[in-house]
Amino acid sequence: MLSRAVCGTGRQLAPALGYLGSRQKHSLPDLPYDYGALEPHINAEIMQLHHCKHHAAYVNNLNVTEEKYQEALAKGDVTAQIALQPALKFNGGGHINHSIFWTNLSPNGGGEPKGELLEAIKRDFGSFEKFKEKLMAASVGVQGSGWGWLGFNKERGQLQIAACPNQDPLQGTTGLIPLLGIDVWEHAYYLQYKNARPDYLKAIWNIINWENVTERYMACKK
Amino acid sequence: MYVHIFILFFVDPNRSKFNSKFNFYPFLRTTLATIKKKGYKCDNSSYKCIFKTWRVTELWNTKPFSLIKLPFNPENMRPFLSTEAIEYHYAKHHAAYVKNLNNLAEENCELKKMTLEEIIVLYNGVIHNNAAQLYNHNFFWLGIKEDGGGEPYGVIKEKIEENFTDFQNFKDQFTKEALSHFGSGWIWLIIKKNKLKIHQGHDDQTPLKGAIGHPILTLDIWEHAYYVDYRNARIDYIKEWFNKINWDFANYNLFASLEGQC
Repeated sequence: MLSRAVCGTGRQLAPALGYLGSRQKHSLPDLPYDYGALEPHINAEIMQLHHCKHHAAYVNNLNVTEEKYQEALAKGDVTAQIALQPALKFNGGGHINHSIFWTNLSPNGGGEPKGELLEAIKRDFGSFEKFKEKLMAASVGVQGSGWGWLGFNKERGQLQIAACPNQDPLQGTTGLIPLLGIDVWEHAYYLQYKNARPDYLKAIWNIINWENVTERYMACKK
Repeated sequence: MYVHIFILFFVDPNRSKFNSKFNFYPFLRTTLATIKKKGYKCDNSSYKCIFKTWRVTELWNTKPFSLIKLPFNPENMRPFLSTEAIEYHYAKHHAAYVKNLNNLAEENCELKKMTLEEIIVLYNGVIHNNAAQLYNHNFFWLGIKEDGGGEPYGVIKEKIEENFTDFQNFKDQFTKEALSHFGSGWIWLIIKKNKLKIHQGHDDQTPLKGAIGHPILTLDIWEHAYYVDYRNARIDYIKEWFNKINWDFANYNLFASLEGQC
C-alpha cells in the first residue's frame, strides 16, 4: 500500500509573517511514497533524513533568505542583495533539485522508458545502455557534492547529460530543462553504500520513475 | 613538549612537508615513538591489529606516496569519531587518494620527485585533486589526538587571543564558518602575515594554492567525515572536534610558519 511520507515538521517550517503575506512561502512537498518504499535500493533511514532534514533545511533557509532579500529590495540595498545571491542559489537550488528528485523515483520504477522518450534517447545517445553509461559516468565523476542530470536542450531539441556542482540548479545555470536528476551528495547514499558511490548509482536504476521523466520530456517539447 | 619541534630534519619518505622547508616527519616520528614506548604490539588485544583488519598496512610503505599511520588508536576517539567512521574515512577515502596518486605518478613520472605541496601548487584537475586530498587528510588526522582538546597552550594560545580575543570567540567564529560552508570542503585555521584567520576551502581546496596562508589546523566537513556518527548534525561534529584538537600540532605548524622571522 502506498502512502505518502510526511515529514513531521514539514508544514510548519517558517513562521507566518503578516507583512509578507502577499508572497507564497515555499513548503516541503510530501514524498509520493513511504520512506521505506524504495528499499532495498535506498533505505528508509536515508529517505527520512534526506527529506525531513536536508530538503526541509533548504526550504527553511530559502524562505529566510527570500525574506532578507525582500527587505534588501525594499531598502534598495544592492550590496545586501548581492551578498544574498549564494544563499539563494544554494537553498533555492536545493529545493528545486530535491522536489524534482522525489518525483523521479518510484517503488514501481526501473526498467526502461518507452515511446517517444526511448526514441529520443536512442537518437541522442545511440542506445539506452550508452545513455545509462554516460549518465552514470557523469554522476560518478562529480568531485565533491553535486548532481548528475538528464536534461533537454530546447534550442537544439536534444537530450543532454550534465553534471552540476553543489546545489546549482540545472536550468538556472545551464539552460537545460531538468528531466531526471541523480543526487550524488554523500547524504544521498552514505549510510547504505558508504564510499561506494558506483554501487548506489547501479541500484538507483531499479527505482527510476520513467513515467515521470517522460511527462517532463513531453512538457518540454510543447 | 616543544623538544620535538627542534629535532633535526629527516629525509621525508612520504614526499610531503607541511611547509616549504620544515619536515613534519620528526613530529610524527616522535609521536609514534611515544606510542611505541608504551609497548604496543599487534596481539589480539592491540589496536594495531585493526590496521591489518582494515588492510591498510601495505599502503604504509608504498612509493612514491604512502598512507600515514594514524597517530592515535581509532578505538579511542569517541565521542568525536567512532571506530567505524574512522575506518571508512581512513581505510577507504584517504587510502584511495594514496592509490590514485601513485597510479598517476606512474603515468606522470615527474610527480615521483615532487612533494605533495609542490604538486598542489603546480597542478590542477585530477592530479591536484588526489594530491590535495591526500595532504588534507594527513593534516586532519595529525591535528587530532586521543587526549586532545582543552584550552590551547603555547604560542597558539597567544595568537588566538591576539586575533580572536579569546578561545570561546575563536570557537564561535570557527563554528560559524564551518556551518555556513555550502557543500563539501575543509575549514582551515591559517596564518597569513602573522595574523590567524579562518579560511573555507571548497571541495579539495587547500590554503597552499594561491598562497592563501600557512595551514595550522583543518576540519574535514565533507559529509563522509561526519555522517556515520552525526547524520546531518554537522554542528555536533564541530563541537566534538574542539575536544580532540592536537595543540602540539598547531604549535608545530605555527612555529614552522614563522621560520625566517625572529
